[in-house]
Amino acid sequence: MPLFFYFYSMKEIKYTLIALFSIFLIIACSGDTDDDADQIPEFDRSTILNNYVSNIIIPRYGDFKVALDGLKIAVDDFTQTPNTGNLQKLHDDWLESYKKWQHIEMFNIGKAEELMYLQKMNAYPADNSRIEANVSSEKTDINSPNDFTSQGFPAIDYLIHGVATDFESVSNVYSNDSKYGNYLKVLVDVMVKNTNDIIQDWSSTKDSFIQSSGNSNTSSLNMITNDFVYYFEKGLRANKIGIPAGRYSGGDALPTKVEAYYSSKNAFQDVSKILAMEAVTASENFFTGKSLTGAMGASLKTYLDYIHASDVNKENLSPMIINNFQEAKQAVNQLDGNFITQINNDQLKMMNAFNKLQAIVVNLKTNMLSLLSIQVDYTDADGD
Amino acid sequence: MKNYTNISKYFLLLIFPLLFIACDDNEDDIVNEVVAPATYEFTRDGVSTVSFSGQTTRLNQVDAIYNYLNFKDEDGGKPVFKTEAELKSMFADGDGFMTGTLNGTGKKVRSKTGSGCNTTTGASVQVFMDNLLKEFATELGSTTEYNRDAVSGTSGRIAYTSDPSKVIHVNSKGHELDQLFVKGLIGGMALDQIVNNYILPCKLDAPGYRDENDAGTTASGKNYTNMEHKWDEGFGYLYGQEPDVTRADLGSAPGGEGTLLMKYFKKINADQVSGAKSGDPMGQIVFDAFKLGRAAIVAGNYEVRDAQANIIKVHLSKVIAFKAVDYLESYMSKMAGGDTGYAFHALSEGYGFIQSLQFTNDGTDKPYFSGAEVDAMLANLGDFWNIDNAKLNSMISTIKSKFNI
Repeated sequence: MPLFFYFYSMKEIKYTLIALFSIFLIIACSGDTDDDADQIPEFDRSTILNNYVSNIIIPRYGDFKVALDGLKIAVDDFTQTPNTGNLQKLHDDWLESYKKWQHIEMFNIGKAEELMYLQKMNAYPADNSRIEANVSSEKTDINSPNDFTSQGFPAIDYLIHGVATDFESVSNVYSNDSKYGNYLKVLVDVMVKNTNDIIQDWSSTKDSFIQSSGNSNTSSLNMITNDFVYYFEKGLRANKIGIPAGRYSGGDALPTKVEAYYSSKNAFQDVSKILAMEAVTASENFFTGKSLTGAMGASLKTYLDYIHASDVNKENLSPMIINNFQEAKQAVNQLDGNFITQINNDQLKMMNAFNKLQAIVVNLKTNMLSLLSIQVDYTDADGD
Repeated sequence: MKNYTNISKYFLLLIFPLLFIACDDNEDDIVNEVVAPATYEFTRDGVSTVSFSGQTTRLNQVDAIYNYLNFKDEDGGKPVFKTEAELKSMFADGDGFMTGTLNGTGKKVRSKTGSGCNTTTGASVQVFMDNLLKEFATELGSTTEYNRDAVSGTSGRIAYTSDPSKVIHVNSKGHELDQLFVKGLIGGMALDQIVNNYILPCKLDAPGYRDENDAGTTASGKNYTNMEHKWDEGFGYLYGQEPDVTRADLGSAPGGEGTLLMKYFKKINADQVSGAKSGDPMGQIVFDAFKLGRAAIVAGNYEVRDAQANIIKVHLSKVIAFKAVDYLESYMSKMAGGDTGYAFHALSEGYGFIQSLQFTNDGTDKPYFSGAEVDAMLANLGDFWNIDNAKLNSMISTIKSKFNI
């Protein structure tokens, strides 16, 4: 190289070097994947954490607990005196608590994660043959992962809507064999105990959770945001809509995989859509920082707005996500109240709802996490 | 001065492409006499000479047995329990499948397991597979075992904690037998038949084959020469379930059909495209080598043929190494998260890929790991309820360094 340059004037050398240097710069920059955390202006993440914990998570858990305690009383009353009136009450309380559950399923963090609370509360489809086996063997220890699909809301769905096809015959099953009622009580007791443990844990970890306001994989906002996005992708988009619609089975519809299958199947009440709508609303509330009382506070949305306001070159993402949510709610709302009917009659409409939810996943997982410099902390399952 | 400016410009023009060439892999130019077609299409007198239906059948047979080892019949009905005799009939005799076209074809999986002309350890793997089918029928042969919870020393089911609707079934040692079977055959049949058999001189240059091929003498009643056909049979063990092998993007976009080598070939290629795994994307490299090697046979250029075979050997062998490492790592991370079901599933896949390592080919017709070395590694995986992570970590680093990945 130096021999080449020997023949050149200083000027030529300079231009050549500049040209070469810029090529190297391009090469050096093209592979650059450094996050630009330090370019984001100062934002007090603890304000979001405070709003999330104080105005959403803890109040929502409290609200859920009230409903769940009601469900427990209804179970006790019905198992004590099996009749259609008590069963109707049990059904209503099951639905009421199941709706409120949709607002806390996304918080799979801390004690909840440790207890595998989410998997014990809402793993579906329920394993009806295992539930029957557990009933007849009077099983009380349901802590094995093999029993996760035999407990929680989906198992209660089977036990009060699936052992027979109308309130009177279901009630008769319980009158004739007290083992059913005993298992129902085991299930609801576990649900209540785990919920109480988590509520207690939140009250003791609340302050340290809010104080962990940095940006690392173990910081509170990173974890809770990852949990939220994962929930939206898996718990909501895939489980409630995508899987039954056949999105992951080469287009083959799988209506038995809808949430609360037995209530719809045996025409007690069409609840899958009610639960899905509740879940979309819960997710929107979390994104916008809307509390149980309806008050608005610091949130992922206000964080995104702050970033855009500080640097208008950065994408103005939150209006797009708000709009995505409107479209998703519309698409879910257009579905038949009975998802089994919807899937059997018009699978494409279900796929359409999936696509609207998928648009939110892309904006949350790819665009929002990148703007907030939050790393994704989970990987997709291998699929085999 | 003016001249110098021009020289300088030319200099820049010259150096610019050099910078890119320098970053590219060197393409040897021994390929000058042979020109590969754009797609995997070869004809004689206007009629295709490409045929690998026997390979497609065997790959489909493995898929069907895999379904039965998942308690599903070929239509997906569940749960279905097959006896040892029924499973062995499918595996060894190519008979007893629900899909009629898989029966009585003369195509059998067992006889093509570990049976490459360059393979030395095959017989023990055939016996391993026989025992595995027996174990499956014995330990998981009825609804009792199917429904009970697996614990150390007892076969049964384990649900994933991460997704409780996913359930695996394991033997008393925690092995998920369908995974040991199919991942073992990825090396034991699919890879072995390619890199230790059909693309090697011990097959391609059987007595008389070169002379026939040079003279364009076709096999009796066929439109291809024997040598052409052997090469295509190798091709078929990778691409045999692809609906359209003539498509132009077969190299850059492998289809991933079935449960054998192609499935993981596609995954590794995608990981190399995204940069998650080292090396240039092997999809195009391997496809181009198959295509050029086949064209070389048509042209009678055996040096080019064997050079392409060596490219195929090394790259396809890497699929096994990458996945063996992936699944050992996955086991440890799932186990750390308390997800025993998912962890045992991953380790079962890892077991099969490690088993498959003895059927790799390092480009000099030697496996990266001998049968004895593989057996020593598998001894660390004898009982999944009692695994030493330190041994897994040591296996991971040994595999990585052998394959330079």
